[in-house]
Amino acid sequence: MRAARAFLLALLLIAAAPAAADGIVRAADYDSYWLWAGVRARPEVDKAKTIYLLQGEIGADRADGAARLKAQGGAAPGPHTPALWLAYRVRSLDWGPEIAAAIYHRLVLWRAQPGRVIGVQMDFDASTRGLKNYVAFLSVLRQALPADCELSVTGLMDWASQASPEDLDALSGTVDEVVFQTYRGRQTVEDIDAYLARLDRLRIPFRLGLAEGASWSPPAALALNPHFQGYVVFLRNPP
Amino acid sequence: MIDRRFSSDATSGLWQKASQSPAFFKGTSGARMRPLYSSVAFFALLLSTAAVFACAGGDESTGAWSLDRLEYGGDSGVPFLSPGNDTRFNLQFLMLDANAKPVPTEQAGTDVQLGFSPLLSLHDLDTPVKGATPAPPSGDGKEAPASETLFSDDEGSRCVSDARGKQDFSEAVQAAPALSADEKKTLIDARDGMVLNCVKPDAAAPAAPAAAQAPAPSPAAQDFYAYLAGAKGFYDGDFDSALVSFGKLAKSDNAWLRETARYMTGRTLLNKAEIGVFASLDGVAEPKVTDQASLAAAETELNGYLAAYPAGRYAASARGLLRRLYWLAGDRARLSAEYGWQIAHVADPQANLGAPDLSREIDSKFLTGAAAEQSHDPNLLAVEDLMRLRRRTSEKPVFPSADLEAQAPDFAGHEALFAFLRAARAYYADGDFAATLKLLGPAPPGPLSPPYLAFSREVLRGQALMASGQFAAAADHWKALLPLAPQPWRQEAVELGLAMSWEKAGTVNKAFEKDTRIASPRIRGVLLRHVAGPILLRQAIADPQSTPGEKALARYTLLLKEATHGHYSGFLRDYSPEEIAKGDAETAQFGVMKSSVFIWNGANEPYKCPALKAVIGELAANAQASHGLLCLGEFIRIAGLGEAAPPPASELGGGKSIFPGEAFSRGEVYKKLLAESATPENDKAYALFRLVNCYKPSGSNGCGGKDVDKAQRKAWFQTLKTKYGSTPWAHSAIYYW
Repeated sequence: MRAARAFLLALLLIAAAPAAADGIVRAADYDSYWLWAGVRARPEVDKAKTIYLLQGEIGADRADGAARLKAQGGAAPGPHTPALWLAYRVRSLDWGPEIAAAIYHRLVLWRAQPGRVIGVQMDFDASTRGLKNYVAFLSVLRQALPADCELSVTGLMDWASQASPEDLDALSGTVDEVVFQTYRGRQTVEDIDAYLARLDRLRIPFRLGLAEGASWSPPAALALNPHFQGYVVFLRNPP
Repeated sequence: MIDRRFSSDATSGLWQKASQSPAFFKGTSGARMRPLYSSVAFFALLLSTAAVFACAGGDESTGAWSLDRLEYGGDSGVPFLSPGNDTRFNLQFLMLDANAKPVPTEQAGTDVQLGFSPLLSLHDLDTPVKGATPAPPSGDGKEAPASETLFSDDEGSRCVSDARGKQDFSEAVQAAPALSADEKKTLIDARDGMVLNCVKPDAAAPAAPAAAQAPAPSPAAQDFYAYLAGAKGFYDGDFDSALVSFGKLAKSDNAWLRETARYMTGRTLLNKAEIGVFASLDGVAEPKVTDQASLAAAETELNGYLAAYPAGRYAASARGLLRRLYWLAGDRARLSAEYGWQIAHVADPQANLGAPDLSREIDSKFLTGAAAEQSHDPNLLAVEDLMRLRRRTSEKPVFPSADLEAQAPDFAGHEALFAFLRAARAYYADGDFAATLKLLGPAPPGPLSPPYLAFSREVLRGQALMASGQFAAAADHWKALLPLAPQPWRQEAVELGLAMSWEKAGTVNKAFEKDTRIASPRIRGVLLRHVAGPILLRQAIADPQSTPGEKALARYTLLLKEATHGHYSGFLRDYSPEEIAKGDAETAQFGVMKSSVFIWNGANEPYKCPALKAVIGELAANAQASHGLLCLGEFIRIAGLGEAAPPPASELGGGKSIFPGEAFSRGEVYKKLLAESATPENDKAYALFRLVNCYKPSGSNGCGGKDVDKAQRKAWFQTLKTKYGSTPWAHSAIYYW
């Protein structure tokens, strides 16, 4: 049963994300994107199935160390066809109550518009050692958001290879999905295959984040992983 | 043509990195510890485990200890004009210079730092420069009302003023002599009870409170009701009805209503012009205005307001709205002129933003644009020129002299800034250090003025002297500059130049001598960690002037390098478990290296070793002893130790270490023991086992030394399984990588 399901999933995935002949990530070959601040909208965006839309950055940009939320990105809440994740770049977890309140409010503003808003995504570079703290943070954040708001996080490839099984299990009990970044700068990391081989440790729905224009060749084993949900492409402005 | 794909410096995050870079030393995370304070409020509400959040590290900027910032440095910057600085650093330095503000309170690092160590972080500028922020229109020290916190900083919503509007309205009602006490109460209650659908879109929006509902309102009360109807229409997006209501108040007897309605008319028209100008899904705000009539009318009204009320209560806001109007209209010429004014007047009552916020706005609204040539403001041009001098690939940036010279007319009256840019261009684009020095000319006597520009010029002079190999002259220059730049950030930058000049000149010991001691513990720490030899390290441990972290770092580095550079008798002399315990206890609060790691009691499995002191004793007697070498390897492997990779040659600590001897490499030691006929068979087998495991689990070499190809690893594995097949290690080896 399990094998049959995995096989079916493999077929679906192969159909969903055909690799370009030259192995270069092209937006048109995928259906989910990150739209980060400074990246201009283009036709693929409106046709997408899912958009992770940057809403703001949370960083401790005051000498007192308290974090502030700064709006980022260019979109105002409005009608939209793709399903949305509201993404936040997080540089500090030292939040006051107003930050979760502002994210909640932003979600309400977006949900007042036609179109589906799945939830919020946190983009924080937790070190493997800091994963436990991060998971605890996320479980608190989750309680501060509406019950029907899903929680996604971006993940570092190190987590899959180096984090303890307990920490990974705790993560999977807390978030709805993890999107692992496979690239550094504009290129897929060189030792990506070694990282990907460790993804079978995960018991949590995950996606892989690809950089537009980077080279990518999916390992065969990936399609057999029952937790693999597909790709998210980080869009870049055309040169 | 400038590559502007990612020219907005405020944009960061996902595109930059895929994984954390590994820490070089075990247990030396550079994560900053933050006190609990602000987390408590949030978590106490929800969960009692607030403590888990206190130490979560944020972004760890990679701080390069160098004055040459050729590439974009993100949040990590230097306290002078530099191409590698995020534009928000450079903009704020120019704002500080233009506003002749006293130098803000600065703090420098107080102890050694191992992980991230920028000279200056973007948030360092936030609070001090904030002092230049004018108070908001009705800032009276009251707490920000709760609904204001529903919005992020910089969130482009007209509703951010709802709470402030409530407060102002209430004060105006209280101050209106023509209103009865009952009317005052009814009006204030009506405003307080107004539910705005832009604040709470999920709440059903009741109709605006109307004068008709009140019993026989006085004419004054009728005016206030008209204002309330206007405010309700404005916040709910019914701009036409708001304009009608505000229009009724042009001749109101109440001065507050007259002025406020006039300002709100312009603001309402601007919001009307904004309808539908932004895409629902976009990563960059690119307004496409179609309602040109409202935009033109808004400009007329806002200018009319400013003419009638040049020092009015909304003057700074109206001026800010005009700036937004230029941006909406795509009028880059007027936008850049206005930014030029704002940069030079951040402390002016008519400026509506402080330096950090203004620099962020300029970065996102102006510097991302495609047509920089429309800027004629010298400060903006300077920031753009510095961006153009930034290295995006390994090649030098292309910025021909003729391009800069074409800007000369725009720098009339700002000749000193232009002269600096000429020299900076020669340095960063041409790499012509002699020309840089020539363009800089002799240093003017007296104090540095204006502070940041003059300091930037003198740092560039030191950089050019160093880059042209004149280290003695550079050191003299830095020493002469020290008393002119006593502020902590700049002081540390000068000391960095001085320490680097000494390091290059082979006189790094001066950084620790009494008369020439470098004051920055962070700089001394880098030198101790990467450059210092045994004498300097012992001196730093004994020196009462050393900081606690410095002592800990020196003790750890000395023991590690003595053990791994073949200084076995030195190690035995310096190694004292009592001293280690005492030292670690004294420096417990500093998250730097703990020397207790050297108190190792040996191992039984998988290879039998005595305590570290006995291992080193064995090596002191015979430096080639295979058992001793394998056990030293076991200690290093089990403790997860490694020498910090030296910084690049262009940075502090990147020169040749003066600690004598070659560093121990497990990979090379195992190979050597395997190759030598004198090595006992049992030790050969264990060396083989370790060699195979060096490449676990990903095929990359974790033992140091020269990498070998997969065929060699396979051969090792096969030899282990055959020739040494009877050893326990051969049994436990199942794979090679």
